[in-house]
Parts: sequence; C-alpha cells; structure tokens
Amino acid sequence: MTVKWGRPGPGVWANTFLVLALACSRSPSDPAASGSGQPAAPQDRSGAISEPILPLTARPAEDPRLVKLGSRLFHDPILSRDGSVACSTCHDLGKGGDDGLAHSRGVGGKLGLVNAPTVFNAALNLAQFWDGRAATLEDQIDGPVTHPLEMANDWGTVERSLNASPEYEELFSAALGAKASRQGVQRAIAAFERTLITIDSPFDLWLRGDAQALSAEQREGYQLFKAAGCVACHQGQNAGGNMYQRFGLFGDYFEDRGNLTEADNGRFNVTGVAEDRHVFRVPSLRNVELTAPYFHDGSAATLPDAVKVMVKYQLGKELSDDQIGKLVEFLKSLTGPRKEPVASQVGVAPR
Amino acid sequence: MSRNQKRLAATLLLGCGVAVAIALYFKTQPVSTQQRAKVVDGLAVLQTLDARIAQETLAARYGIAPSYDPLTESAQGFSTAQAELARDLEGLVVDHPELATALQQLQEQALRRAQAIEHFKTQNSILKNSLYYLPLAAQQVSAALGAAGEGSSSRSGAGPDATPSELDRAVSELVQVVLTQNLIGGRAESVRVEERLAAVKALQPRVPVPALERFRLLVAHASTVFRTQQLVDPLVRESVLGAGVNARLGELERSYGRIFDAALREAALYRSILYAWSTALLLAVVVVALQLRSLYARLENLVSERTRALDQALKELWGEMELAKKIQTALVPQQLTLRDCEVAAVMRPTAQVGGDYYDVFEVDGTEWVLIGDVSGHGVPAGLIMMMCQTSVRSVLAACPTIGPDELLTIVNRTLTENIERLGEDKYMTISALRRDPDGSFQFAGMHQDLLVYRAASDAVEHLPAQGTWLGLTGNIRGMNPVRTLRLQPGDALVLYTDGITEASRDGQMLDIGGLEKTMVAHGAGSAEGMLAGILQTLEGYEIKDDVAAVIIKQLAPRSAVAAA
Repeated sequence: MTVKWGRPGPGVWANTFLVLALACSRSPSDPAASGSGQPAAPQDRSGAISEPILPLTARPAEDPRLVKLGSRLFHDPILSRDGSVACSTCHDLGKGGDDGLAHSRGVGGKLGLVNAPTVFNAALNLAQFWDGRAATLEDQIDGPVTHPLEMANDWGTVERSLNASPEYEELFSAALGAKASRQGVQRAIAAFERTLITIDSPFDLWLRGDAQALSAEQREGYQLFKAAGCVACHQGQNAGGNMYQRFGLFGDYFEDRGNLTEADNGRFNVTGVAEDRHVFRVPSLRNVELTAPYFHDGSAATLPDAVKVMVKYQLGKELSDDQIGKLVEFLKSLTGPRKEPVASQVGVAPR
Repeated sequence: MSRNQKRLAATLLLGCGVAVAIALYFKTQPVSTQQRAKVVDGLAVLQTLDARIAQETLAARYGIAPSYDPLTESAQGFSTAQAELARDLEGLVVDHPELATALQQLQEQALRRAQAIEHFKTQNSILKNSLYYLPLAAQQVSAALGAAGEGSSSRSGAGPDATPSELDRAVSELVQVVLTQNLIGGRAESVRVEERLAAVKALQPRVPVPALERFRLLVAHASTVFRTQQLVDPLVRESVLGAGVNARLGELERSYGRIFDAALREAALYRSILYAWSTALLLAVVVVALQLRSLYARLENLVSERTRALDQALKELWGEMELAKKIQTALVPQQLTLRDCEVAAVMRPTAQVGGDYYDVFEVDGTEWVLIGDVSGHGVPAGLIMMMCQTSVRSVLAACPTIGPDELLTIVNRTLTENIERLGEDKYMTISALRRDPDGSFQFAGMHQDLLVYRAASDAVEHLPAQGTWLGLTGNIRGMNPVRTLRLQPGDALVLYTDGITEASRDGQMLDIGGLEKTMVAHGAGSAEGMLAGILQTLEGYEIKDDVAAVIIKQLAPRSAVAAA
C-alpha cells in the first residue's frame, strides 16, 4: 500500500481555511462566560469526547512476573552504591510518585540538580527527564542508577550485587529466564512503571459523562484552563508530557529568578540547538496536586504559586486570584487513584 | 581403465555434479521473500505514518485536533518503524552503498522532521495561546478604554490622550491584519501587520494609564502571533512536506526495488542454470542407470550361459561317471564258478563309482580269486580299481600259473606308475588267491584277514593278511609271502572289504567278531545263504564305505578226491 502525500492542492488549502475560520470562531471563548459551562463534557456526533484532555485508559497488560521483579527492584536500595537510595526514595508512590523536595537527595545526602518528576503516568510521556534526554523508560533508568548525585552506582556492581542474592536469582529466573543484567533491570522496572497509571480521576469520570464528578467551581476552572491558553501545552491524555516548551515566553523567568544553572538550559543540553535553550518537557498535570514543589527547579512551593508563574511567564495574561483559585480547583480534579497493584500486591496481573 | 577406476570416476563426477547443484541452489537464495515482505511492509507503514504526520500537523495547526497525542504517537511510531526498517536492511546495506546512502538520507531527513515536529508543537502552542486570546484582548482593551474615558484623564506619556475611538480603530485594525496574516501568511499581509504594529506601538504613549497594561498585553500577543506564525508555518511545511522524508522514502523504495530486482534476476539466472544443470545431471544418471541395466543384463546372460555350460558339464560329468560305473559293474564277474565250490559275491559301492574290487575267474585251468580296495572313493578310486583289474587279467592271460606274489609285484609296478602320473595320492590293498588243480589256494597280499569257516569245528579260522599295499612303491618283490589254504567240504572262505567290518551301530563297529558270528550262524547253509545272512546283519548298521564280499563254499569234490 502506498499513501502519497504530496504538496497540498488548492482544495486542501480551501478546507484548511474553512477549518481555521471555524476554529477561530469557536475557540476564543470569554473566561467571563465560562461559569455557564456544560455540566458534562461535550461529545462530538460520533459520541467521542472532543476535549483537548482525554481520559486515561488501561494500558496493555505487562508480564506479572516482570512487574513483580520491577516492583521489588524499584523499592530496593540495592541499586545504589552505598545501599541507601532506592528508586522509591525519591519517587515515593505514597507521595504522588515523588518526594516533596525541591531537589532530591542521592547517596550521601547529595542534592540533585532538578526536581524529581513523578513516576505516575510517566509511561505516557514522549520522553523522560525534564530535558527529554531518555527516549524510553528503559533508557531513563540508566540515569539515576549511574548519576553521581543520585545512586552513584555502575552496572557492573549492580549486576554483581543482584546476582549474589538468592531472592533476585529466583525473581530474575522467573521473569526473564536469565541472570540479573542491566537490560533485565531496565526491562523489569520499566514494566513496573508502565503499570503506574492513575485511571478514573474525577475529571476523567466527568469526561466520560459523570456530570457529578466535578464541582461547579472545577468545571469553571476547566473552561478557564482552556480559555486562558493553558491547554495550548497541557493537552492530550496526560494533560502535558507530549511536547516541549520554552520556560519564559512572556518575560524572562530565569533572569527574574537568578542563579542560572546548567540544568536551566533544559533541552539545549540534549540537542545543542540555540532555540532549545530553557526548553523543557511540558510536565503532565495529572496528580499535580500531590507533586509539590513545582517546576524543574522546584521553585514554586504551592499549586497557586505555580499557576501564577505559568500565567505570567507562559500565557502573558492577567488572572484574578479568584480565577487562579478556580484553575487550582480544576487541577485537583486530575488526581486519580492508582488502580494497578501496589507494592504489596504485585504478582497479580495488571488489568 | 579398470572397472573399479571407472566406477570411482563416475562417483566423483556425480559428486561434483551434486556439489555444483548445491552451490547453484545457494546462489538462488539471497532473495528472501520474507525479508522483502518485511521491508515492503516497513516502507508502507512509514509512508502511512508520513501521511498521517502531515495530516495531524495540519489538524494541530488549524485547531482541528484538540491535542498533540496523535501527532506525537505517529512521530514516535515513525522512528520505531524506521529503526526496524534499518534493522531489516542491515544485511543489504553492507553490499549496496546506494541503499546505505538512501537509508542514511532518510534517517537524516526524518531526524530533521522529528525536530521540526517538536519545534512546531512548541511554537504552535505559543501561537494558539496568543491567537485565541487576541480578540478577547481587544475587547478588554476596548472595555478599559471606555472606563478610562469616563473617568480620569491621567497620562501615560507626553502627548495628549488618544481618543478611545482612535485607539479602538487602531486595535481592531491590528487584530484584523494579524488574523488575516495568520490565515494567508503572504508577504503583503506581513508588511501590513508590521505597519499596524508600528502604528499601535506609536499610540502606546498616548494610552490612558488604566488601559495601558491591557494595551501592552494586546501588543505583546499580536507581536507573538506575528512572530510565531512566521516560525510555525515553515515548520508546518517541513512537517507536512516531510522535510523531504517522503521523497527519501520513495528513493529508498526504488533503491531497494532495484537491488531486489537485480537479486531476483540473478537468482532467476542461477535458478535456470540450476534447472539446466539438474536436468543434465538427471540425464547423466539416467544414462548411467541404463548402462548399468544393460551391463546387468549382459552379466545375467553371462551367468545363465555359464550356468547352462556348468549344467552341461555336470551332465557330461555324470554321464562319464555313469559310464565309469557301468564299466565297473561290467568288470564285476557275471559268472561266479569255481570247481567244486559254491560262490556268492556282492558289490555295493557307496559313491557312484567305488574303489572296491573283486574277481573270480579261470584261465587255462587255473582259477583265481582276487579282492581289494582302493583308498578313497569316486572316479579316481574306480579308475585305479579298473587299472588293477585290467592289469591282473593281462598278466594272468599271459602267465596263468604265476605265483600270487609275483602277480602282485607286476601289477604294483604298473599301478604305482599310473597313480604317480595321475597325481593321485592313492594306494590299494589286495589279496590274490590262486586255486591249484588240487583245490588248494596259494595266496598272498595285504588285504583283510582271510576268514575261513571250518565246518568240522563249526568255528572261524583267521588267516592274517601279510605283505604290503600296492601303489606305494615301485618294487615290492619279496614283500608278499605266499601261503597255502585248503578247504574241506563244508568249509567256507569269506573275503570282504572293510565296508562290512567298519559298519557301525550306536558307535559300535560290527568288526571281525560280528562277522564271525554271522558266519558261524550260517555255517551250515549255502554260500548264498551265508551272504544273505551277512547282508541281513548289516541292515540296521550305518555303512560308510563300499561293501564287497566273496564267499566260497567248498563242496564235496565230484571227483571224490578230498584234500588232505
């Protein structure tokens, strides 16, 4: 089969004009009118949800043996050089998948360079880390294990210490039919992390048609979220996580904050392209209520603080405290329960 | 060339032929239809994703798609499929720099496009944020200006406050040209936007203070739309037109197609060669098989011919043996008569031709009785026996009264010589008895002991054989002492060969004792009666050798002359 897509003909352009005209007539809705938003999410004619944020859905089932091993590894400080730091030290599943610190502490109490992002729904991100330097969860795992400020270990040591443990010998053998290896550790932890999806948040329930799932204030907050332009970046299933954006579009955030660090360069550190300076992966807003402090530098202690910074530097708008309050209320509706097996229950096949 | 060498050469040739066929077969294999299917599938997937990326980019640009998820997914799918295709082509790339170049160019373009997509998403979000806000910002400025007009007259700049209608007009003109420019994106529109922006910025110092902040925001967003639109549209073009990805895909497809076609042609060529070669090989095998068949047919003919010849020879041989047997039978005396005696005799050869010999005859009034046994059986034994008989008859025809020892000496000379000529390792036992006119026997020779039934004592008398065998040495003169035997009426002389005494039953030989008993048992009867008795005794015995016996029973002399 060959699908040809050449230069668009006049018909295509004509269509796009029409589409653009429609888009322009619909999208810039008045925040003042947002209070009269529909009780439930609007749907298109086919019954599909026609919102920029879509509900989270179950992912393909992972091998339960692999998930069990991954969970064990995720919670085991054996991966760190001095046995003091586990993945779960900074990505505490009981604290929204991170540690509540502006900068996490690695082995010997060393301070990390950026704020630890949550592991929940990380599988949905287009890439991992704030600067997107790891394309997959598997690749990402290499980072914290070997980073001198995090676990400060090397894979040879990790493999040796895992292979010295009868428990891991059994777990690896059951999950992968092999001895412990770097690839095995990466596969197992990534498989575990792919089960960390927070399905059925109130907002998702509302999107699916449960009009009672959101309060009126939250509904207004959502309309404001769309009208104020937040949704330009925080869209998709993960309400973000699927693109990069420069921090500081209206105003220079970094000059205002001061103390420029190398980490502030963001994606520029990966691509070396000048226009990628201060560009970061747009974080998911799911469970954002639980993941304070905010931003790559952990500079915003509370959610209203973070929203204010975003409105100022990213949207270039003025919003009242009341409007910000509504936005925060809406954001809280993105907190979802984790339906996947918790650490004590792993081994049960995920849904 | 010997037959073995020929066979070896044929085997070697066949082996070489098969080896060439196998080599040809492997030459037809580089074209893997499975790999081709994977590559074709991979290319199709990439082309589909390429088209989808273009569609989704446009959808994102013009607000049809509410999120970047589909575009992100397609872009990630594209890199995954591209990596897979590169793996599928790994083997081919090494040998085909043209393909390697096409693949590398595709990867470079795809990477550029992937970067373009990311930058597009970034810039498009900025654009959307400002674009959608712009009409609202205009409204807000207008509202603020209205409020300011009613209220104070505070100044923000040097000049007098601009009138609300003047500002309103300038703002709405700006919004209009910016939106138009965003739609059309032409050069002329850009110039107009620049003009309007400059005009609005020029008015800024004259904006009343309460409306100033909103005015600034409007200008900032209008500038953002203008600037970002100029960034976004080239990125859209790069993403939609695939930054040449589509062309590279086509090039890769053509390049792979050329390589595959070439490989296909080559494989087809080798396949035809293989077919031709296999046919030739098959023909060769058929020819060889046919030759083998004719060879076997010839061999079979030869075998049957030889068998026939052998059969013939065997028949002839049997015929000869029959003849020899006939001669032997013919040589056995038909008339067994001795003066004043009853004579009974038997000859039963085990083989077709036996080695036993006896003769009873009369020459010029002298009667002779002979018995002997050639070692072994068969034709050679029979021949020697015949020689002996002829020789005996010849000598006695010339000298009927010759001494039995002398007879044996002469016969032995002839016999020994002939046995040597025949190259047979044979000898002969013989006893010769000459019956003189007075009825007494002069006898000599080293056959079996002579057994004499004495009617008077009803017992058997042994006359041990003394002398030497014939055929061992040329001259036996003086080696066979001559002795005399007289028979009284009723006495019976039994001459026999070892076929009788060595007949056995249950491992027990009949022996001379057994023979004696039979003789005594039938001592009163006739010679025939005694012979019948002996043969009856032999029934139930296993006989391994020729059997011959001569029984001479002395009767009362018609001349009434009794031997003393």
